[in-house]
Amino acid sequence: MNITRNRLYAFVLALCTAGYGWLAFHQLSDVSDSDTRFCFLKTATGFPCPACGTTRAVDALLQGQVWEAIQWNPFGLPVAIIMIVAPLWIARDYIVKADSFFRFYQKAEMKLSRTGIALPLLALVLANWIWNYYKGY
Amino acid sequence: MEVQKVDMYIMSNARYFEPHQIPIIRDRLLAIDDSKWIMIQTIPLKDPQTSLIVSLLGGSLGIDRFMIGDTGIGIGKLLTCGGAGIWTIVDWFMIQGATREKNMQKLQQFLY
Repeated sequence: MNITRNRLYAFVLALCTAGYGWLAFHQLSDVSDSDTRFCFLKTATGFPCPACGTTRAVDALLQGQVWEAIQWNPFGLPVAIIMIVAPLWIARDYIVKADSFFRFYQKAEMKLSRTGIALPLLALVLANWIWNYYKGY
Repeated sequence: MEVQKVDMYIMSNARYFEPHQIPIIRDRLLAIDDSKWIMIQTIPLKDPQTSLIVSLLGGSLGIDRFMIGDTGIGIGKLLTCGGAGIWTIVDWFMIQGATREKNMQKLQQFLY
């Protein structure tokens, strides 16, 4: 996919909308967490993925419990920040006809690809994955 | 560049690009200077079939996207359990095309 400004914005907005939809469903539905699992890896293999528990973490953040959210899954923090900031930033870009979010995305992508940054992040993801396994998700 | 060199390049690397891109690549390679030949030969192109295997095995963690250099999309997949599995399945069909597009982007730096 050759990414352009409009494509990226549409994609991020669709992703955030799906995220809010899922969060609303998770909050409104009465079924237990284990019934509403959507993790492909967990369903297929029985092992949790590094992102298992993110919905519960964002749920905890909505109730103002930051520490509990970190204990569910630290991925909840970046996900919540992206879900709040990205739509607002994109809306601002559409209003003032700018592409600051697109340029930020490209810069962030370049920086994150550097070995010095990518390797520590990979180690954190692996550590989180192992932690998820021990938490019994 | 010489026709023989260009045709050799096309024959050995055609699988890395979309079929509709091949005539354009050939025309541009014929037009550019011979001094770029070594650079063009050493571009690290990704194999679409390898991407597909990686996507089938590690697509729900975004490894396929990280591999072809789509770091942003890879992080998106990683943070959302492969987009609830839907994105993972969509990427099984998209990843080969995405890999070829990335290869074309890499080659384009030297073609123009």
